[in-house]
Amino acid sequence: MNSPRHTPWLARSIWLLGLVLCALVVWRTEFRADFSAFLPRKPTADQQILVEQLQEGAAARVLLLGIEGSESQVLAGLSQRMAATLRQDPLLRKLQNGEAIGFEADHALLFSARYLLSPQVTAERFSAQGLRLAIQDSLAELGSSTGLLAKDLLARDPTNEMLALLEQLLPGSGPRMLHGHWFNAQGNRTLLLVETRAAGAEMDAQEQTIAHIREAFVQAQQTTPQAARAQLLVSGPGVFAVASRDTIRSEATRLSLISTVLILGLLYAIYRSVAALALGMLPVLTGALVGVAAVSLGFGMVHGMTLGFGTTLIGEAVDYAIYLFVQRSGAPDSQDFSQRFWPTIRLGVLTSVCGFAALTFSGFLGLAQLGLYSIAGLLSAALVTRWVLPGLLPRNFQVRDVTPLGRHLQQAVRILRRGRNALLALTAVGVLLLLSRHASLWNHELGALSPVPMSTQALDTQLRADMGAPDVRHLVVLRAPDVQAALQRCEALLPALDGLVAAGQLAGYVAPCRYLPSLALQRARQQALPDAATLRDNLSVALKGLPVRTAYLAPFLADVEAARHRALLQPADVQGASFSSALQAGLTQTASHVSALIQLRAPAQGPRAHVIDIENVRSALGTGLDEHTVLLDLKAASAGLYDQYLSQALWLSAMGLVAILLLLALQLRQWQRVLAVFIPLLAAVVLVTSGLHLAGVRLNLLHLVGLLLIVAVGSNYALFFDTLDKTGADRSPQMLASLLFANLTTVTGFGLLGFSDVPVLQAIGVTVGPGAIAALLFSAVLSRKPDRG
Amino acid sequence: MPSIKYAAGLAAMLLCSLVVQAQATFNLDDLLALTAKQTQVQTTFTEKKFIKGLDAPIESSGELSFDAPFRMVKRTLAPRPETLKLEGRMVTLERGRQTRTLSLDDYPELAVHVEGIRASLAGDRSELERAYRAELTGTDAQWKMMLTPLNEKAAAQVKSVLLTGEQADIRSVQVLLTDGDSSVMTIARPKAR
Repeated sequence: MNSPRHTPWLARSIWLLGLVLCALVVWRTEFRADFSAFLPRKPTADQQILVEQLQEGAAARVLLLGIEGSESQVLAGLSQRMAATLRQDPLLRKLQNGEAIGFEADHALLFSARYLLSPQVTAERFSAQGLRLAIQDSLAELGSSTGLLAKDLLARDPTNEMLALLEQLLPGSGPRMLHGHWFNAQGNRTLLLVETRAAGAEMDAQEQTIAHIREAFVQAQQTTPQAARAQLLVSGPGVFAVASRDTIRSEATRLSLISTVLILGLLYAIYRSVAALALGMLPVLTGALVGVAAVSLGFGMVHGMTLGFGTTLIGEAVDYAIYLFVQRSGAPDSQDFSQRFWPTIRLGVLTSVCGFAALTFSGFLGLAQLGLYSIAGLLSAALVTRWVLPGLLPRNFQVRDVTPLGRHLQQAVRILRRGRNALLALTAVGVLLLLSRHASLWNHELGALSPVPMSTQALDTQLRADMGAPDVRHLVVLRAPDVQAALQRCEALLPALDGLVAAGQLAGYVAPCRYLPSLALQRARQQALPDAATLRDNLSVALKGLPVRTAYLAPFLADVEAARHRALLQPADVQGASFSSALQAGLTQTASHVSALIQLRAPAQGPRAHVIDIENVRSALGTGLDEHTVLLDLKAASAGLYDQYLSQALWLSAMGLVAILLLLALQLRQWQRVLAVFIPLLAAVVLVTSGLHLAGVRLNLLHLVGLLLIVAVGSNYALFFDTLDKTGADRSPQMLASLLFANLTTVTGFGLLGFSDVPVLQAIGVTVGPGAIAALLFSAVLSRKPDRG
Repeated sequence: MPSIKYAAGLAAMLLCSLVVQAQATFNLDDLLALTAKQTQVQTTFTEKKFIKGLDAPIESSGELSFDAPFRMVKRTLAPRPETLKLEGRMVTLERGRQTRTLSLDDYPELAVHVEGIRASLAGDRSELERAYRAELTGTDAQWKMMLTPLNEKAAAQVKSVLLTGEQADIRSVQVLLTDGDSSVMTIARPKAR
């Protein structure tokens, strides 16, 4: 620890070189702001599919639009004009607003291929008996109130394959139609459904798409009379993603700006020196740079979340400089610092590192990055404080003399220590409380982290209800080597799904193999059709006693004969159809495989409204599910993933605490000292947790990070009090004052976060703000030897 | 004197025709005034659709109800249950587990079949003349109203709708399609006024 004359020079050179190297690494670093921070590092096959769906899936591409605030006729006009503009927009894959766009072309395509597409086409249906039943059915159909509208189909399609096709391809009950457009039930809001070309995770593209939609609305508004008061509502995962990114970004920027100003003001009030202020920032800035570089080297990329929160986590590095400066200006020779303060800081840093090391083992990439960032940042900040900063201080470095303040603090500590037993008792009560309530302490809902305000979420629910389009939540995802194999696998699942629909367990499903059957199935249907002579014979038997004659059905005979020889339907053939986007969404091709995706729709009404019993579906699908075919509940799976992170993080934190205890035991070597350091921290954590719990807060992952921070920051306080006890009182006024300043900066920084509207920021704030104060107070109250100073 | 005889005969004829004319002054407003008095109608119907190429008409039957001024429900019970509900400008079609809601304005070819019946029952002349040109003949005891659709899309399919009735009751609705097919709905005398 002796510092020979050349050491400052050497340390400074190593530091500068390190900074340059780190800057180079950072320069070449890839920064990401997508979902990846929330993804497991080593996903299972299920999780892989979940992640693919969250990032790329159809559910994440859907935007719901509503226009309200004018006469329904005006709203319909707006919908029409907006749709006309947006249908030309390459950023959109699809737009539906109830207009019958492309229906005629669809009809022609479906009609011409009906015998290949209809699931009813079997050899039995075209036998005499089957035909008779089918034709009787069609005649009954003519008796309905829309019968006259469809009567012309009878001669060409007496088995009514077209109706069967339309019923399975078109959603059973769309929104209410008004003036040719979709409306909500009250008729005061017109509805549009958009599918973006950009994946849900591509936030910039989502943002651009939303901007285009808003522009199209403004344009439509300008060309529509009496539309000035109309309002556009936009909702959907893309809107949420963009809004939360923007909210977090602006909140984080605003709050860190305010807290920086406040902390700098506070530090200036203490230092009374701009030079000291600037120098005091060196450890933090170095730490931040090294932290980013370390994460970049360790993970190959740095996530935006790491950048956003990292600096907060190594905020305690500001404290190091405070300890150095306050002490140094009292006694200009650096020996005192290196001998008395440094070992304490060093131990404090190591304690914090133990805490954060727990995070690096997290399967949650975001936490793992934050862990590594904090470790690298704190270590480098501490090293700079010890080896570089003293050498940079001017000879006559002086900050304000804080001894008088320190003496008052000593007095205060003496008084505080009288509360020792009360605090211990309170902590014990807290421990008991937490033990008895441990089941309800944590919030296992992923939504707890969502920065999307309740009002926005309510709007989404409202629009979805209007649209009759509940959130895409339950999926069957299957993988196959090529398109045809995927379609065949998909087809194999349909009988079980149809059974569930018939039983009322499902309202329906959207499956790509419904839009485009596999070639094998099309061929099978083709082969099931009888030749002309057989069909004629069958018909003549079937028609006995029915009011239809074979001659009337000549067009039917011709169509069936044509269907037997027509080319099978390839994916390219349906490209132009309005349902091709549904096919695209249900069938994704990657370099190695094709995934097909079947969306399950919950019943809209009745006893099982909006509920799908996933276990029922699982048992119905039975052996249809295997390692390539997965039944997925997106909501449960993401919640499960989060839950897994949370449990793992809790477990790792416990390990971290054990590591801290071991470290303290190793360094302090006396169990009384270990306890004197550890118990105040424990008390702070326990009482803050109890306080939050009693205030009705259910803790989430970010609260846990906050608790770790209390330990990290608080360990410095506790260790200083331990040093005070050990080394007598001559320097204690300065030490106490510097502790108070360090605490004030921490509380300022985190306390502000506590006022944020963003749940993640707020969670850290409300934990660390009170926790830091508690840690300092409790360290004072519980410091080992009462009334010695 | 043949000329006197002739004149007397002429006078008698004139007189007769005057009497007939006096009876025939039963006009649209009179009819609508009659029907407007009833606010609720509950009855049954049978319907036959005559489609060329088919040897026999397609028959269906069910219940018809009307609540003044805007609600009419046609509940088909056979051959296949189905409910067509007309409320204001909205049509709800329930068939099995499927329910579709449409606006009359969007489906004139469907509207033309039901709008005339409701407007007549409601006694709403402006509603009636918005969709059809109406011609009334006969007496209050037995009247016929010929409705010709005004909407182009509707007129492409439906040539005319002929309502016959007795007093305030509509007893039959005959729809003649442009292609020559037709349907006849016979309506029972309402159970209660």
